Amino acid sequence: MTKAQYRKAREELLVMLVCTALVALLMLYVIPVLIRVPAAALKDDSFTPRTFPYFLGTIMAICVLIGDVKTGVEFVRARREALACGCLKEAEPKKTLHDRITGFIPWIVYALVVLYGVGITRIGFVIPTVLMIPAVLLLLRCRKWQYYLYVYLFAGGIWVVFRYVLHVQLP
Amino acid sequence: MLGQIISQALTLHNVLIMNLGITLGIVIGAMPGLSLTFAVTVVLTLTYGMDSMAGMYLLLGTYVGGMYGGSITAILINTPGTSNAAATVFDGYPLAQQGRAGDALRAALLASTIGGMFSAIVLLFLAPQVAKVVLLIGSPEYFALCVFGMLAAISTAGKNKLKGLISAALGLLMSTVGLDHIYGSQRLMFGNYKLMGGLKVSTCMLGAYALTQVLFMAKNVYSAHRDERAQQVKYVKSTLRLRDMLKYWKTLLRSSLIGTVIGAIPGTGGATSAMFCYNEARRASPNAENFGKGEIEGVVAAECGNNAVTGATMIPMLTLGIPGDSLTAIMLGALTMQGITPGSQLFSSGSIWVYAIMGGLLVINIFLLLQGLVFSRGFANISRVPMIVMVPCIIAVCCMGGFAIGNTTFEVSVLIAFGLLGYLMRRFNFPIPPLTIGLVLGNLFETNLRRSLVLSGGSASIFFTRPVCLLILVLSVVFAFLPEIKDIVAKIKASRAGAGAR
Repeated sequence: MTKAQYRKAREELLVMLVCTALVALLMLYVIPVLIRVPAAALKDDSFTPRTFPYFLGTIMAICVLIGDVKTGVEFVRARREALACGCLKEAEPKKTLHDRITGFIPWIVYALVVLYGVGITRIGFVIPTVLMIPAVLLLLRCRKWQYYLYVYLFAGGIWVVFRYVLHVQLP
Repeated sequence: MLGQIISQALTLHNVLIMNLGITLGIVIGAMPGLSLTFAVTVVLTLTYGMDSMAGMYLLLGTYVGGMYGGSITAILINTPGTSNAAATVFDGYPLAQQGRAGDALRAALLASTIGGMFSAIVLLFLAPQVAKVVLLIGSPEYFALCVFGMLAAISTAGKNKLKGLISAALGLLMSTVGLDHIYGSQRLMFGNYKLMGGLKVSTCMLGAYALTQVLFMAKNVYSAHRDERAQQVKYVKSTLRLRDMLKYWKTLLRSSLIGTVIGAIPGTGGATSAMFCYNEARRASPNAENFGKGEIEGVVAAECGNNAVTGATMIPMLTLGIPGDSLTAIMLGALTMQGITPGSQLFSSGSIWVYAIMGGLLVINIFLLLQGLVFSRGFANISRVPMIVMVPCIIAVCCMGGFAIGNTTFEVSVLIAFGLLGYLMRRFNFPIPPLTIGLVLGNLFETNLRRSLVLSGGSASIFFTRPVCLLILVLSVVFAFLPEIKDIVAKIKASRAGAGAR
């Protein structure tokens, strides 16, 4: 047992617990509040608009409960083994700044995509695309100016295809 | 009728579209790290505004081209462009190292074409027969087939079946968003009238596959600082001819048959087929010891096997409206976007559309061969495109494509939301194909469940008292949980053997 394996077991348990909370929210709040059943359906029909979502919610609930038990048992076993071998007291390998940033890269790119999406909604495609390209390339430490040009040419080409070949009225 | 099909399918416009699809498929398939599903999802955005036949030709061209494109990087840089080309690496790269890269690429191309054409012919003859049988089945059986499709998708999750089941249920749940078909009541719309028509499957897939892929790609690019081009083995012109391939006719025939059978089974796919065909070829070959060291027959078996699934995967999609894998789910989404409902009525309505599509697949394979022969050197250079360039390009294509799907910026928001969902799912090992297949199948699933329960007066016994329905349900469970069932049987046998010894 290594510290990484212990952490993996802990992460799996946490993920399952979060899923359980979400399924509980679905069954207790989302379905009853966001799906209204008409009076006619309640009176005459055994299959109301809520039946199928509840059916799926039940399947999910069973799955997450099994998952909770399974990952819980695995976590307890992993913790016991990790304590026995003393690997929980092992010193953490020192993370460099690069390592720390790497973990956040998907989130930073996602934030840029969100900003790009907001930009598209507010001011259309052209200006947000012009800004998004260098932002992403600089973030990924692109040093070759030719690559910036290639991406601009590609994005411009795609814009032309959508606008004039496929006749999509891009904002 | 044949004349009508040819005149409709082989217009200049359609031929150009087919070739465009093939080129895009090869280009995207040849880029390491981009999957075939990604290729078809991105190209899906271009089908907006096209007529349904041209749109399908574009997607089919991408599908077939991408299947072959994956072999280029497998052979030249020892990295399969798509998972379907994983078995091609075993002999393709050693051949390239021996200075026979051109031969390996030519063998991959010819084998892909033969496998693809075989599968397309089977589709052309088998699909109408399957459609006739489908006309005879009722709602409970249809529901059982939907369960089969869902469980097949879950079975691809490997050991993560529990997560696969959660993912599938989530996909089905998301398919209920919008107005209920019978009562018209709002379901899971959060008060947003733009969700009245439900979530657009194509947008969801674009987010869950393409945008998610970008986020992972960005991390890889940053950590490896890959703004350099990939190192590849030098391309050497091929000396292999078609008649050289004929000596592998047994391998070609075997792999075509295996690939077609595997392709017709939901939940499998090109990667499984290629690996199976490769192992069978090695088992049957007199040169078995050369496999893995640079044997043309290994490349032939793997490539023929993976392309032989292309036509066969369309059988359940066109006849039942049930996608066998994420790729056919995307195509089904595209058809829905075009207002076409796949199923037996496509064959019984007298329309030649479906025959033109199936015949088109045959033609696409011929164009694949022509493009591969003429542009092989150019395609070989694609694998050198740096990943860093692709990240902003894909973001721009996704957002423009997302907008094009619904002609509204709301679709861009849905796309971004599904990008996050897909990222979290992949990060925590929840498989995405069951989610997307659930989204596609949701309506069919619910409709047939509802009809069946209405027929039986609300009793679920209807699914267990009709023999065909029961048989399909049992097969679905066995098929999905076969590894677990095998484990249990082995444990019982071992415990019995232990008890006997005592």
